Amino acid sequence: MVDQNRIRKASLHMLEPYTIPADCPYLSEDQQELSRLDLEKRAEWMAEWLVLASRTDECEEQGKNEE
Amino acid sequence: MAINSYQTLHYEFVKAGANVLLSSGQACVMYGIAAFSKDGDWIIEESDASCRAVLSVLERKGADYRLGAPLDVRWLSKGWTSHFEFRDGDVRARVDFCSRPPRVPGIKDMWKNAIHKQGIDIVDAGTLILIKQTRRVRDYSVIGAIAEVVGYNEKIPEIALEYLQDYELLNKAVSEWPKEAKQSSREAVQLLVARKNRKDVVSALAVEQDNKIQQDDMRIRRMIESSREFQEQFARLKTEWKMGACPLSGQHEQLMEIASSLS
Repeated sequence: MVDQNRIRKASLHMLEPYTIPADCPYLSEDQQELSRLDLEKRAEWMAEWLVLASRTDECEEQGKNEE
Repeated sequence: MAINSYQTLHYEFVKAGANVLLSSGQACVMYGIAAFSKDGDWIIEESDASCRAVLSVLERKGADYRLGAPLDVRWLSKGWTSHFEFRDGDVRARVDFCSRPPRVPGIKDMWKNAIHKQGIDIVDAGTLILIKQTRRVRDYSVIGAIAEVVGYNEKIPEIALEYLQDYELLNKAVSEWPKEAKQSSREAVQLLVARKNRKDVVSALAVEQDNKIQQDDMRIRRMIESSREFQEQFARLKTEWKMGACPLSGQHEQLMEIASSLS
């Protein structure tokens, strides 16, 4: 039986800056960098990515329309 | 605090009176294990008040429905999902809602276990693991990462043994928690307990992942198959909305009329 309180506690830890081991087989350096940021900085990071992704989408759509 | 479009939206939903939880990709970003997610996914409480609150915020944003069910308890309670899009400055926002995320057995427990911090309401990491067992291969890296951080690093053996996705870490977890490993029903764990060779363990992990991918793929195919008529009707409505600049409240009413075919 999983101790739900411990999972909640661990979840809360993940919302604070923490370090993913450098040899983590699942995540890139970008993702490891993100884990070291606080919530505010993670949100800022996401904001930058969203603008970038929207511009990429627009370029792709424009390209399709021109074809 | 400088925030992004989806966080702003979350605050606005809550302020309008909706009970919502950040989920899936945005939750992974907030937990620091995904660099990016284009969409905003929320779990919404099955109540008229929450649906009305979310719709009012989205109407103010000039949002349009994308293909999906109306945001209403009748459809949410059957497992259907609702999808919207709108322009927020430089960002093309796509927002998705469900009330019964697939593979999550207890909705009440999910709400009880939700995490609230600095104005963020978010599913707990254990629930996120279940939600991320999708048909996309890349989601299994996210599951492995949560299992490493929450399970292995925080020393919760049930999470580590059940969800680590690679040989090396799983082998370490089995060595660290031999008693719990013996009790695990996971094939890869049992093979490690029996000291079988690496190839067998890796094969078991791959088959397990593929089974999960197939299960989710079949679930989505069934939904698509059972909503063919609705999809055609939706495409016609969408064209009319584009021509007539129909507000979201109008789209919602029309969508509810055609969505009776969704069982």
